[in-house]
Amino acid sequence: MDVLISGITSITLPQVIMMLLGGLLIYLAIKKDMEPSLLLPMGFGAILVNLPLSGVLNQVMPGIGETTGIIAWIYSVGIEASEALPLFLFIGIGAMIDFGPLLSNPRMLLFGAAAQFGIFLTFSVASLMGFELKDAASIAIIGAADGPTAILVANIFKSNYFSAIAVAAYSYMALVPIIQPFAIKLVTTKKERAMEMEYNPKGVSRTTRILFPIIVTIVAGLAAPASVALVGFLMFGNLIRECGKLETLSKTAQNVLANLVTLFLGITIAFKMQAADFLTLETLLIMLLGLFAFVFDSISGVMFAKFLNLFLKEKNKINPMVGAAGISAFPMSARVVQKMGLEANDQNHLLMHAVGANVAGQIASVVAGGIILALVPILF
Amino acid sequence: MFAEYSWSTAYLNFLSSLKVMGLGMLTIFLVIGIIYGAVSLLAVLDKK
Repeated sequence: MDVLISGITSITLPQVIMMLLGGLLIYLAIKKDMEPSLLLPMGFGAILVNLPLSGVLNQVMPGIGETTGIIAWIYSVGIEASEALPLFLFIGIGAMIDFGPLLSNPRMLLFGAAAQFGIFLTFSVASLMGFELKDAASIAIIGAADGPTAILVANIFKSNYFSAIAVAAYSYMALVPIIQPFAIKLVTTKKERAMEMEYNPKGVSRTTRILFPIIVTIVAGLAAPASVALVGFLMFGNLIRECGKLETLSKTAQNVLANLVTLFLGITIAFKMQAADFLTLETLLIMLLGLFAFVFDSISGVMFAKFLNLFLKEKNKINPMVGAAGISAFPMSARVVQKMGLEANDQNHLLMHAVGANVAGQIASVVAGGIILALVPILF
Repeated sequence: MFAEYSWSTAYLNFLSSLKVMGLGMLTIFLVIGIIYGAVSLLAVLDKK
């Protein structure tokens, strides 16, 4: 009889809280449309791993010995051992990205670089707060606005706060339409937001589109070898898209592969959402630091645009908001800039400029991840 | 974490993080600058 009720009698308050949190993530995914493809599997996974004696985790059963749980196994093979899941997702993301707006207006690349400053600032703040360097770096990379990069860096550094980092990274990506307008308005005037920009797209040849992912991989790989896995898989996906010979593979990467990996990634991340690991004061701090990183990434992009404007002729000046699109949250960030531009001036169409900066942010964020991976271990 | 907080360790880590910040931003701009140059060169070659 005891065996039959062991599940009920073993439940703890933290486990109940985590299951409620799982329910909240499912609610946000369905009702608020917040990154539903990730928050829903993560929410359901949180319920699965917090059920007492859950069969999705490794358990020791009387008379049988240790049994392997499916979520523990996928986590061990797909994330812990090889980072395969986030990297496979990068192939799909690369196949989805059209670098055309960036290639026809390459100065937007600079905003991708500038908008990574929040990562390094957060790293410093987290270090000062007492987090170990490996944890501070993992927390800071939430500011990359790039879930797979955050997961990969946190996992390679074996951060103690892996689950909180993953939840923060994906939650804030969904909150970009709320966070960015706040950050942008902090450092811009209405007159600046109303500034119009001409858009004269240049044609981009197929050769350029094909060479671009190869060049990016080689340059980033030589400067930050630790970024090769991240940049390489992203650019591999893009090469499949642009080569013009692998239409079926490109569509598979964009749809089937990306969806399948997202499905498993979400539920597998939940492995680290077990009550004992997650319900801590540090989780709350990590959520705050993640928000700080997002805000300062946006602000640094805007400030860099203002700095460039000091040297540009009147007709070439850049609407500072475009700098904020240099974070990697694609395409939400570009849409935010377009919307805010139209709010300030109904003739102000910034979308294509912002898309250019936004895809530059995709490249720069994975390079930033690689740089963090290369530089921080030297300090351990 | 806070029970074991050590101001001196945190301060040393903070100083190290500033070095990472400087080197990191420099490297990102270097990488992006080279890519910018390569893309601009490709655009010129395209025109020809």
